[in-house]
Amino acid sequence: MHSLIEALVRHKSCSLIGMEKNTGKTVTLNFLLNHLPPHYRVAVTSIGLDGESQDQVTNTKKPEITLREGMLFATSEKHYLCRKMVSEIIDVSQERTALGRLVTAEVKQTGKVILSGPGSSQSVRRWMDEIEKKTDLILVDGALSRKSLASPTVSQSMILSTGAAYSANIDRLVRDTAYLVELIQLPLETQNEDNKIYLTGAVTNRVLESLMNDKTKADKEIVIQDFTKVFAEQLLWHRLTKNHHVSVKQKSELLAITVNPTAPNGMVLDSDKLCRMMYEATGVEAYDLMKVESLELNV
Amino acid sequence: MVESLELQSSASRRALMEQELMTSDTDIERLYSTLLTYLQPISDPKQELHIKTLQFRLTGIKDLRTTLINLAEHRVLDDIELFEIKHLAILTSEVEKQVEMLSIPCSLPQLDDIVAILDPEGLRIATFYIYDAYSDTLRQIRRQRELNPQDEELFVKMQQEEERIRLELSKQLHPLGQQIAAAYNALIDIDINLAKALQIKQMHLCMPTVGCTTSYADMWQPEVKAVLKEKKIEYQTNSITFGNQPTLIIGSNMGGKTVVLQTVALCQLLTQFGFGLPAREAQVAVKDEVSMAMADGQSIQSGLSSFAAEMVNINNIIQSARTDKRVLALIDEPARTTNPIEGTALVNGLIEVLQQTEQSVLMVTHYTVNAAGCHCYRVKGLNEGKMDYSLLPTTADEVPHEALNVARELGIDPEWLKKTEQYL
Repeated sequence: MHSLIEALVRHKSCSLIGMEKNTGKTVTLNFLLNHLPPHYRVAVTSIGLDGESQDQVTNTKKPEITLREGMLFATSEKHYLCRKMVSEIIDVSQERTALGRLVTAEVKQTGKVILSGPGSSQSVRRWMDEIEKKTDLILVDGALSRKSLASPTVSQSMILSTGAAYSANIDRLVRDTAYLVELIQLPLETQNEDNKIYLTGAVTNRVLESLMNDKTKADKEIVIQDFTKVFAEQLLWHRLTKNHHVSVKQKSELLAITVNPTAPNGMVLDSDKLCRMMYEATGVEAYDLMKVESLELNV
Repeated sequence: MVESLELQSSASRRALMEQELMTSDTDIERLYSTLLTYLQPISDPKQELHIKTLQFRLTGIKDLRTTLINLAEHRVLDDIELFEIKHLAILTSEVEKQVEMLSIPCSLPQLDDIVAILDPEGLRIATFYIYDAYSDTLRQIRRQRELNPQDEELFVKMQQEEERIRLELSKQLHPLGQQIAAAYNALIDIDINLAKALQIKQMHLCMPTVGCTTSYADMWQPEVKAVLKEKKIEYQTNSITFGNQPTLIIGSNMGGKTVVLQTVALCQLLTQFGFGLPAREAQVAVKDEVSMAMADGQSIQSGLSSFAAEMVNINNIIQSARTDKRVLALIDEPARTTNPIEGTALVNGLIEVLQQTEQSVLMVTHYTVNAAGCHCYRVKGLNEGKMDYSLLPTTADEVPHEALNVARELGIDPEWLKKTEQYL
């Protein structure tokens, strides 16, 4: 069993997030689906319609996911009706997404489907609670978009996809990924009752500046909802963390980073070097899953 | 009241909000006798589990309106719509069992034919896809696909065969459309009736009888009661009876007269929507229209002053009172914003006009008016510094002069009151 799968099966749910399009989130999802033990009951959905509207702008199709017999999935009415598989409807929710109601189904014969799931953290949570008893693992194709209302921290664990599509400059790519990893790994808020400041909305540069200029707020613990709420620049953020203990209300464990060394324009980074640098900068295992798969084929 | 109703599905809520006021005595009576059949099992603690199970089943009602339209218009239903119909059919038989156990008489249509159509494998579970069992061709194509999952041609063949089956199923289901719709509406009715019955039990409401006159014993305004309960103050109930003539309510300020009007309006509407009433006992005369002239109707948008807005409003009430419609008019302190001399005259005139219409009118006024031929109620008023909100029938046209006493209780500036007394 691949070490990534070993880490994954210790959790009941996992969100996949990507730093940019074409960083290999779909590759990661397909890798996980192919490598999980065959008896494993898996349910898959996606959060946020955000990717959808963007795709319609750039005219690239949202990727289809191949699902095997016995797997459960949830997608919108529209995408359910154009699936390329045989599947049995288990439930149709009364909640509406922009693409119609949410359909939960079981795959009867392997095939492809476009995933477009619930649009908010609460509705993902509700769906996960419903489906949990029927499954060993729930995979959520999460949007790491600033526009998404749903946070990937609804699941217990997370896998981050990054790669040359984000930046072809290897140093910048590693530095920015490490910053995101640092945010993902912010500790949960302490039990300590007082001496806390709760930041409920987005944490922007301006919020940080006014916070740091306010002497009355020095030494206080700063609690934010989750890492997706941080929009501040690295430098400013690090000035904050020097003087404050910063924590989150909700987090999930980062299992691994997957890298795609190839950029859409054809530029290719050194895969081994990239994985090594990522690991050194973050302390989190980094894999080039395409390479792992091709090695497996050769064996 | 609708807010506090424990409906199990959003489809029921929508159906309830789209209901129209019932104006037929027999419809209303029939509904209350149905509610009675729900109240019996609800009050039986042994049935609690069955009620809970029924409620749980009712959460499964899905909004089928679009599907029903598509079915009626001969459209080919998609997998989701076929799933919904199958789900409804199975749900109906489950609810039927539950309702039987509670001995609530309901006429749920038999949907076994539908289950048979959509459940070719006889599994009786509420899931759906185009089963292999529908056609040998489909079964064969799917078997071939297992060997060649990438074969686009096979996929297209499978889709064509599936679509043919959908068309076939839609054709078979079309004649059963009315039964499906009837089952859907019956389930919604059960959800609404159960919620109403539970509300009656929880809020200690009563079910009214229908009669020629209206009479409420110990009625209360639920919102005000809830507010008072939070402040740990007891609510004082009122009793009132009125027929087809103007009935006046007079009495001191802060005596709860407006609340009485609101409660009467609420009870009238609750009756005609078939809810329990906030009263110990009630008899209600059914109306075609409930009109209210309350509070300050000042409207900047239409450019009317508060006096003008009120006059127009009351004028509309007079016009509809003159028609054949049975009207309940509730008028709170008419002509209060103009000078008392003309105000009193306007109210006297209004009473005479409304007397001729022989409609039910409840009117609150502070003016001394000619109340001959009217029923009259007076708020008991201040009693040893405490407000007694109960309504007493009174014959006289004496209007109590308690404004100053009430103001004193409110702690109003003593100098102002002293100066005022000099003018009386």
